[in-house]
Amino acid sequence: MQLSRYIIKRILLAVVSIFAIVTITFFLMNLMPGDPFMSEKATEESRQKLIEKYGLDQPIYIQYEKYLKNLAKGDMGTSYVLQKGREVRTIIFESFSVSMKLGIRALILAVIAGITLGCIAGLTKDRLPDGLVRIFSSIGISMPSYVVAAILMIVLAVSWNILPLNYNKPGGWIMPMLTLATYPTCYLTRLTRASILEVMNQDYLRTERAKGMSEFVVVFIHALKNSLIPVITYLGPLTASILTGGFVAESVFSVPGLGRYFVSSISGRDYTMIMGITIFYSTLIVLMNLICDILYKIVDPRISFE
Amino acid sequence: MRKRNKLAAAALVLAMTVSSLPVTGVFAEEGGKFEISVTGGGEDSMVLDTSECGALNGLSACRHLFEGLYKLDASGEVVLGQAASVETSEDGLDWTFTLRDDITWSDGQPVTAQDFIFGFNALKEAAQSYEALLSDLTNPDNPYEAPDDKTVVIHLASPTAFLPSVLAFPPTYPIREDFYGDGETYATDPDKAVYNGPYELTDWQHQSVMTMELRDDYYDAANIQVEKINWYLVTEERSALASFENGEYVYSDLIPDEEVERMDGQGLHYVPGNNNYCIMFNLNQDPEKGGTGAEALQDVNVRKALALAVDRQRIMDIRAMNDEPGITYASSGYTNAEGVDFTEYADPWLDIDNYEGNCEEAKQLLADAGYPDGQGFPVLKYIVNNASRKEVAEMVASDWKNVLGIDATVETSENFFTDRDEGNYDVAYFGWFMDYEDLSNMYSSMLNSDAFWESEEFTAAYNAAISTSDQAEQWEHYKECEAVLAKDLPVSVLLHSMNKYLFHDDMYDGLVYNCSMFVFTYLTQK
Repeated sequence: MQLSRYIIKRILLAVVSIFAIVTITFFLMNLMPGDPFMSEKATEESRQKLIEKYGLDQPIYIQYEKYLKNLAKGDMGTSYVLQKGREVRTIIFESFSVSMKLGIRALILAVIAGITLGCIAGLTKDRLPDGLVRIFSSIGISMPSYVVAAILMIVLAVSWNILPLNYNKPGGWIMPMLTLATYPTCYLTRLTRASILEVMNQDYLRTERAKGMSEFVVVFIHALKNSLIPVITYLGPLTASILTGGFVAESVFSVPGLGRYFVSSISGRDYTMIMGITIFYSTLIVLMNLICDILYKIVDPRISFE
Repeated sequence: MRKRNKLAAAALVLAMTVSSLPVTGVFAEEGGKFEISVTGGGEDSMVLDTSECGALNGLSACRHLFEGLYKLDASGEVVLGQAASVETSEDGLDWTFTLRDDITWSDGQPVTAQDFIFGFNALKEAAQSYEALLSDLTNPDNPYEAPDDKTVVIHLASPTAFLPSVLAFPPTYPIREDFYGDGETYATDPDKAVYNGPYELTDWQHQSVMTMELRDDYYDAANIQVEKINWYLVTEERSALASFENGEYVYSDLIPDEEVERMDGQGLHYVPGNNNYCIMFNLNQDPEKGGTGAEALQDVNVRKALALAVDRQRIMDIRAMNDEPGITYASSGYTNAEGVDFTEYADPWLDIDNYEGNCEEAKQLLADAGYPDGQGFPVLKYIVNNASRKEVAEMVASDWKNVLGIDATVETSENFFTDRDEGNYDVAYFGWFMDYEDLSNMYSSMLNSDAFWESEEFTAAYNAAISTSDQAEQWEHYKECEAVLAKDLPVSVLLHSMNKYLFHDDMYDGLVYNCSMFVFTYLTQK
């Protein structure tokens, strides 16, 4: 199948997937108890007025139809709770810009450090560097991000006082970046190590060595390239998740990113935000997976799109 | 090769470290004026549309950016703000305010009486928490008017001595019609509003920080030293505490519970929370009005038994939050000219120090009501709205079980406010956090409560209290309100929680704290 036909087919499939996600989320969200206008001091009458104002008193299928019509025009509505009155698409755009900036840094760090450490471990199997890398990656994978954030905060910001806690201060991006990058770095390290070990035993590498190729060319040109396929598989969802930020890293270090909205929009029953973020995130994941599939083909021409 | 790598790594670490060093001297000084950084509330609490704001931190922010006919002065007292003078009619029903000549919005336009009228109307239309704040007090046929640009007249339904407190409260502040539009996007960004308070919002990085700068054309600007406020929108307690400790923040209202002890004497302050924490009894028996409560609760002696059987001291000890015991409906912090606190002036509902005696009395009352040792007593449905309140409710339920032999099922209701409003409970959490420092605000919470309780005696005492500005007379009437509540027990008060905040009082003076709201305008450096 041609690449262009493959891409068109995948995009059509993506549209169907996103439509299904929108539909399921919309109805599930409305099944949640509560509404955005619950408050200790608001009277039941004022709550009802607001429910009517935003059309939440209408049958669910009518609300759904209206939402889809507005969405088709690119209108995701305004936030009810979290940034009351501001357009959801503006909020997503602003906060995603911040998350993306931070995420790209974390991603670059994770990819470079992860693949490098993985290669070092793979090429020094069962020796000291391998052992050290394995210990580091095991610890990094096991630690939840809030523990990583707390350790960084205590050591770098409180004890040593060399980094600011607030993202807005100069250098404020370093600790959230390290928090975001820790898990993927360690995961990529383990993935690359396992992949390298598998590839290094392949016959074609023995042939290359027999032909007199230098070890550098064998390892870094041939072995590494072929060992990257599982890494690329992981990079798709990783990119999507890391670019959209993380709830913990963003909350702890006051990063004005998209990550914390995943949780806060649901707990605040901010319906338009829940929908907007779900659509945005699912689109991003679908897109990243598509790019990864195309990258497979570039890395390994034997892979067919059939 | 290895050496080069090490050098490169070292250089990278050094570069990252140097570039990230925090800027020292956060509090810049120039000609007596200075800049502060604070944290108080997350993004979601920052609704700066005064007709819609409701969260305490958002209301605090509004107090810096906008100003009403009255305001809080440096000592926290309610004084005239945008109004130069006020005249009250003999019957106390008509209040005529004359605006100051030197008041402007941040775009240079004068503040007019019409701006106040527009603000009052917007409040009524907005259908938010405080929609009835003013309309409940004013004459429904002719509530307020602006006969000219400089005069605002408010016509009350009955004499209301606490009107100044209401008019010093942000929801009653003026709004410029040309910026308000349909209200949807008003004040959601710095350029979507104009400001008539001491500060102007010059930048708002959403979810991150708001920047407020002192307005040169504010009439009292010369007497204000805080020139710029960086208001960080932080919700994470640990990072807020760390930032307070390393001197970044002058003020923070976020402190993890486990750090409270350590921060004692390190900037931690406790103030009366102007609130109460109660258990509410559903007294409704009419299905037409809503869900009905257990019939047994109709008997006031049963309610009294339930109130007496709760070990308040144990609950306060377990919470370890410096609470005050709930022996009156109003909390402490209101003193008269002689310095007597109202909680000492009013009669206590019960003797908290005689818990054993209370338990004996409770058992006897329950037996007299026909439920000896809880026999035949229905299982009570006790609803709350979050985990910490559930913990307290479970302590209460355990006391009822141990002392009276009564069972209660504690549930966290997802639709708590609706359930309570509709009477879908037997016992529920109830707490009132005052909006402004006037006892009327506390007792008004029981006028149309979710307990389905009405008392002509209570309403008469309340109306008498708010109709007079004589404090001694007022207090007598509020004392009557307390007595009626203690007699009828639609609620039982468990405790009054304290508010706590962190403030660098070693470096600054002049923080105004009023009903959980804070004002930084009058800070001075020590």
